[in-house]
Amino acid sequence: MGRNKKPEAVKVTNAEPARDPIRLSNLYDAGALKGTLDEFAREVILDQGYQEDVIINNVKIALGLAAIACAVYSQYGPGKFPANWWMVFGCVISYIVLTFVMNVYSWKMEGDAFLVTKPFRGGKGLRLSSRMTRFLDEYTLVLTDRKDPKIEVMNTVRIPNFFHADGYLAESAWRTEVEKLWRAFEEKQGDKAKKRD
Amino acid sequence: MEFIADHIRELRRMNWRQMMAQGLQLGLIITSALMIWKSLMLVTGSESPVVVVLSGSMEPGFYRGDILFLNMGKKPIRTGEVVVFNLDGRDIPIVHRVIKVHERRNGTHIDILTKGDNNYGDDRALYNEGQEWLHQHHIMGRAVGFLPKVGMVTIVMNDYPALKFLLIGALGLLVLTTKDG
Repeated sequence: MGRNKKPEAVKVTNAEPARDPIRLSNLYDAGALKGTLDEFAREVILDQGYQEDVIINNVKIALGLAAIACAVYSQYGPGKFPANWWMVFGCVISYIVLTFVMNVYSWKMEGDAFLVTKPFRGGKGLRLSSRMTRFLDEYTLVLTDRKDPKIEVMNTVRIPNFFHADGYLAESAWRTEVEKLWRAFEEKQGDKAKKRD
Repeated sequence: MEFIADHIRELRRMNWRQMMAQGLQLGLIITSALMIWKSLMLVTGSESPVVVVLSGSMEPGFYRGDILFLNMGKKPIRTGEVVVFNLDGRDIPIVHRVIKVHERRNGTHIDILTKGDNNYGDDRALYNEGQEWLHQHHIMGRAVGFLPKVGMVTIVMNDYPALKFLLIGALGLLVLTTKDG
């Protein structure tokens, strides 16, 4: 379907999948807070039927593996050092080129998004990204159309509203929030399509 | 303990693609350090561009724990130069000064004798059984610069290997705990 992981035992209620409720042990860890909200928002969007565009990640993984292979070959490859100078030189240059290409590719295709989807339902796919400033407790979720960056909706929420005091993520509340944003995105997409016609 | 359980839970929630991507990021950090080392090797032409002085045989010029920067260069080895050499079959390099050079008239072959400044006799006592001279291929490079005492960390970590694991463990923990927003 639209999920990129197999559910373990799916109950009939489609609001909450059957798995451990998400709980953070340290509510002051900004990275963990953002990560949790990101992960959950990603699942909500995928639940709407979108599929993650895995080609991007696959290409990145392939390039990364190639770069690491060059590095390992330069260290453990045949020949003793000053004699194999040109081979080591070749490995270093390949490594630099591969990592450069990988970074440029990632920047162009993904930007700062943590989810990029395939085209779906008339749209050209979307990018899901989020921002969180360092010492404020606000989190902004951004949905951007892949082809037309002007089709963008964002929503800023206060983080404490979505976490219980004992660390549990308020899953239904956050899901509702993300779905609300998504409907706003669909509307904006629809508006733009109408304007073009 | 809780903190480790948190991370394990997070890892289990990732699918294999995300885990690969994370693993690759770590691998790329490590390999970029390796590549910087390799480029230093390429630039200096020496297989070990940075060495730590392990003994006091070059005092008062170099003390135990100093770091030396090496460069090979194409100029012929001459007396007075401080060189780092590796004897066949031993992997610990030695830093001493060249005191004698015998060169064939056509410049094809070179015999080198070294001695530590602080030693009583020359290095023939150190060379392998029956070896009286060093040759070009033994030399790893000439000392071209040094940093005093900074290499003590390496010496201490070699003497007490447990410290190495402690350091790597602490670094790993640091990488896991700091995430930028």
